[in-house]
Amino acid sequence: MNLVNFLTVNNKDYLQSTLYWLSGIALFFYSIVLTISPAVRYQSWHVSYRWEHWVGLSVWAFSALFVNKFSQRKYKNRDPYILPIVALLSGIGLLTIFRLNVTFGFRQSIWLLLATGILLLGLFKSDWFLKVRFYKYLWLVFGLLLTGLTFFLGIYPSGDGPQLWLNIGGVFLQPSEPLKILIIIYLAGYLADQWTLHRKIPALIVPTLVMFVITLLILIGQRDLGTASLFIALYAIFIFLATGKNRILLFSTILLFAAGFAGYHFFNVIQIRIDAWINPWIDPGGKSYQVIQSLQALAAGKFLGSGPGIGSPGLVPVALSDFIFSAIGEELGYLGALTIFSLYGFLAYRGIIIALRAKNQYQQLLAAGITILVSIQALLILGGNTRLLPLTGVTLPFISYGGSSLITSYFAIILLLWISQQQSYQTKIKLETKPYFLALNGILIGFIALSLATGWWSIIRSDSLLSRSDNFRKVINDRYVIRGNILDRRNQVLALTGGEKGNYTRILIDPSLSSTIGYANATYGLGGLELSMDSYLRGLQGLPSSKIIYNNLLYSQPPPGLDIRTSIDLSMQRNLSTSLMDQSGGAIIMNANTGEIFGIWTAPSFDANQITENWEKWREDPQSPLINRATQGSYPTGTLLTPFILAYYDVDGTRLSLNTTNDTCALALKSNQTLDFSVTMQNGCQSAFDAGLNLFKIEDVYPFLEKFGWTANPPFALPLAAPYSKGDDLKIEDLSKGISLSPFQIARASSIFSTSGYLPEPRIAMAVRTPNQGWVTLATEESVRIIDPLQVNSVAEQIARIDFPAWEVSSSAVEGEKIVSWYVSGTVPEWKGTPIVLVIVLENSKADIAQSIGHSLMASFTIANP
Amino acid sequence: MTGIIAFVFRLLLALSLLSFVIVLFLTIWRQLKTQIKMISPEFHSRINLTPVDMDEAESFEISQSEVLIGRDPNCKIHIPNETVSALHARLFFADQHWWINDLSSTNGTFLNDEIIDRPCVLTENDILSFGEVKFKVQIFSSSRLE
Repeated sequence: MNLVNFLTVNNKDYLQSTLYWLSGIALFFYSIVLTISPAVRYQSWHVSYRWEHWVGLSVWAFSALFVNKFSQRKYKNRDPYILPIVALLSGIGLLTIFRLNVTFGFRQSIWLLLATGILLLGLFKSDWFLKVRFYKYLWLVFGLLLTGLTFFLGIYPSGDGPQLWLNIGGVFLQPSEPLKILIIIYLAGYLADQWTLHRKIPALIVPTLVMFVITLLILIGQRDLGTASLFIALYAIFIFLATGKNRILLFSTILLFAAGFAGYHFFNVIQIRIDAWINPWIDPGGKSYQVIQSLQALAAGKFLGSGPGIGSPGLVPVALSDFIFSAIGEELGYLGALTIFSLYGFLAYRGIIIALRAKNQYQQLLAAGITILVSIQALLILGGNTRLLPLTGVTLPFISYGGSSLITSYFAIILLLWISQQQSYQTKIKLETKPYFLALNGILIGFIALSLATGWWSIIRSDSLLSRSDNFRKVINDRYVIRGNILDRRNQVLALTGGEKGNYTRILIDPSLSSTIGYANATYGLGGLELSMDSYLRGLQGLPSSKIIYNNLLYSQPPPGLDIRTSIDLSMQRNLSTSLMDQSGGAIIMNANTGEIFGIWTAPSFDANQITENWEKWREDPQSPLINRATQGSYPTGTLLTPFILAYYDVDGTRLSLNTTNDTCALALKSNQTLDFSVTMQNGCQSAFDAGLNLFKIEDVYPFLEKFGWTANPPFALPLAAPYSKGDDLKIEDLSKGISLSPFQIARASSIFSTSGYLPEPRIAMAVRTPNQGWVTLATEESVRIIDPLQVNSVAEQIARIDFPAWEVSSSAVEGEKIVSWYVSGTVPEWKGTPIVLVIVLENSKADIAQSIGHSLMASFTIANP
Repeated sequence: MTGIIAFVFRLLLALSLLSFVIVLFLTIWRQLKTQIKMISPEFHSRINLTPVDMDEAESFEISQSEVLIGRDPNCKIHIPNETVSALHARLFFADQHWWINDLSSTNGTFLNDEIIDRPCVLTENDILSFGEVKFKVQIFSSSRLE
């Protein structure tokens, strides 16, 4: 407490120096972290460090040293808090600008030097300030002329945007910035002269008209809602302070709403801003992109912030000026945000105290006006950044990039300091001080509301904001943190991360798996297993939470991702894709017992390694290569359901009467074949299907679909075709045309013929490799027996092949102009090796082609998995 | 490792920002407390400046926490003397003591014939000089209004 005791003895110089030192120390640590930030990002000391911002820090230190020294010498009676608060704010701003963009950092350093020059000039030539009041009309006209010029000569320095700047020999000036302070001088001078003498309403007509015209010009001419509302609020509070009449506040609030309402209806820009404020979640990629990115930056900061240079605040648009607070919120966290709010709050408090101690009415109004200008401007833009208010494009005083803003703010501060130098300690009438304290309370309540709003986004809603798909920090982290590999069942690599740290890319070894393993692309996001297993592959799940928190706190990155083992068998997959080359359709090969998927084929398909080059082409291709036909494709089944109907009704097919006149079959019957039921069923003849359909009762349609798992999708790591629901209200006629199912659905259901009635739970993601426990199997569900074994085995026997220990069914259907051919086969129930089912669907190919490919595949798969 | 070292500096950064705000809070809090104490009837301290060697001049009795001394008529202690600057010095009460501080006056402020360049505590019977004008200090303190 010794330090505090020493500080409170009203030793102004010592207090001011101490505060300067503390801000210098804070900025020094900021610079150190920014210098080593690349080492944190790469998690290695062998990186190129950032040094440029030390130039900025030197400029700041130089400015602080001189201002501190000369203010002590020249303004003995000054307020000791103002200068260090302003110095810390502009120091944080300068370094944040360096962190975002080095070029702009150097420019802002020059602006800071110029602003310091203004400050020092004010310290040495304080008599000049007396002239300020004398020529108040001249200043006002000058400011208005400059602003008026932007209507004709206005430009936007960086491309397309509001034309609020003037180009003066390569230096850009925003006249609305100095206009703000010139208006305050005019109002303070006018009201001190006129109101104090007459205290009559007519005295207010002239300034009201002036303000009205200015606001209207800015609103209509420049569509600058921010500056317009700033002027309205400023003027209202000014009149309120001078007159002490509460009804002024009420009146101007109505006026402000009216202006907002009018702006909303007449100007598109304002409408967009207000819509984006009221409901930003509707259009997060368009109108409310800025706001949502800003909130995500705050959310990414959490309590302590990522640390200077370690976060990704560059993701927020216009982070240098309008959204610089979001950048600070991300890298310095909630703590940094609270510091900023406290600094503005203290500045407002000291400003109002200076106003109350001012020597005369003019200085009192001037000091209050400056304080209120800085506070309201900060509240407006900070409110816009935290979605407390609609977004208004004003700068954050002292912090935002911009010379006009910085120099104007510094000029305002030296005026404030000059007024504090001449302060007197006469007791004021309570009636006179009341509006000032009311204004101060309003400002402080505003900053408290900002603290609560920021806390809401950065602490309470942090996780849900960060998990949004438009949080691009994940994509940036992917370039620096290695993603887990995806392996096949024998731990052969299917997908891995390649390239150098900082530039990691994803490589898929076998492009035929593009639809299954999927893609992880910086621009186009995730697909397939890369999407469904993302939390493991990114190291967000499967690790001890302490490890995840530790990495987030230290590096703002997740830990290295975990490897995933799939059920894919790379050799079977290659066999599948080479055998089906030149065909289009889908195929799936699955373990009938466990549901493990050995291979998936879909064509036409895409190549996950070339997604950046060809995405648009594939997306617009009418063949839709991005769809996984094996799991998502829905194909008419034709006569394929015959064995399922027999199994469902437990009927011996040989006892059914066949009408083979004019019969059509998927596979032409050979002349030596007898026309018995099993042959017609295997070959996909209409006669066998019709015989089966005759058994159907209308109320059985839904239970039939339900039994074979076609009314609900099992949990699966890839997107599946929509199942049938009761609401589809299928009739027997619909069945006779052949309902549409995916190869995945058929493969799962037909497993019953290989497993004596068990319906498996298909799976493709098998296990995850954790650092502590090694391979951990992902949870699975047991197969369920859905049909009596005797019942299903008798059907399996009827569709059994004579030449091979397998059963098979073919089918052919027409969809539009397309012929769809099915070949479904599986090992017999007595098979001692791994039970396998194979489903092939070909578009525009005959069933015999599907069958011959199927035969050779079954032969090789059963040898591969005896 | 890089993360840990950066983390240490990040903590130091947070700490120095925090200490800046805390110093702001504490000093302003202490000032407010002193001011409240001054205007509350529970505590009372007055200082009396009696002119030395000047019979016709009146003495000043101060019960405010802070006053300015100078030739300017706005000053609470108004001394119409050529050797006194317009804003000459500041007299204030803080931490149970009365203090004097020079405001860069032309002829300087002297406490018991020594020039002051920083705030100094006043005690009973001190001699204060502003230019050629001298005062004798008398302090009346009481913890209760009588």
